[in-house]
Amino acid sequence: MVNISIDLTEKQLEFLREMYSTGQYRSRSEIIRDFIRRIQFEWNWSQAIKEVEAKGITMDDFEKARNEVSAELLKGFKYVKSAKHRR
Amino acid sequence: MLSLQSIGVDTNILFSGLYYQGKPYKIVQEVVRNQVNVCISEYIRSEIIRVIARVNVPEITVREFFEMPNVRVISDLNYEIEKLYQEAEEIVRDQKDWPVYAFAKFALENKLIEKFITGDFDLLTPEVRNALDNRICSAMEFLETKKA
Repeated sequence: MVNISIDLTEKQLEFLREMYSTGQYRSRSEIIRDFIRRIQFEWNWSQAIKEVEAKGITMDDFEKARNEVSAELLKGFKYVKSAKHRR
Repeated sequence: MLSLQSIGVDTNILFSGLYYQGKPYKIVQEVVRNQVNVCISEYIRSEIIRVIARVNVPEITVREFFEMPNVRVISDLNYEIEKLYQEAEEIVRDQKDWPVYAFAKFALENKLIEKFITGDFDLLTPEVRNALDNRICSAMEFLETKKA
């Protein structure tokens, strides 16, 4: 990991102390890393949603792909051999 | 510190939550904000990774989701026991949902999760709900219980 220094306001520092006191995090660095991870995910997430909308991909496309994928995955399953109901 | 609720989710909830902004999106938001823990099976993870490659949606979202500290992939293959699959075969119409049912039953019985969320109507029949002690629900039903 790389060590950097950042400037925070008093309110932000107080917030970090509050988060630390919950016991959920072992250090202030861990809190910052968690928040950056969340921001990074949310950024990529919103971009992905926009891209899917732009491409016009629908849940029907997903279901079609899922049917194909599950047929492949279930080939190796030894329990799937005597289905009474088949689609 | 309050312990977080743990839930299981189906592939359709994951896909819908990660690429659209309907009800499953709100569930993913709760995961991102550390308000709920998620358990999924190795089968569901394999399935969604292959599906997203096939429909050509950005892969990074799913990969980052699996890296979250409150998302756990259960690799214990004890949920692939024959008894669970025989049970699934009796009450779940669509064969592709049998691994999902088996995992949901295993995870609920072993207290890995408190609820399992699915968007698949074949898993929301009265028979399946009864077999899983009414601890399987849709995204909308789950979010309504959170409001209450």
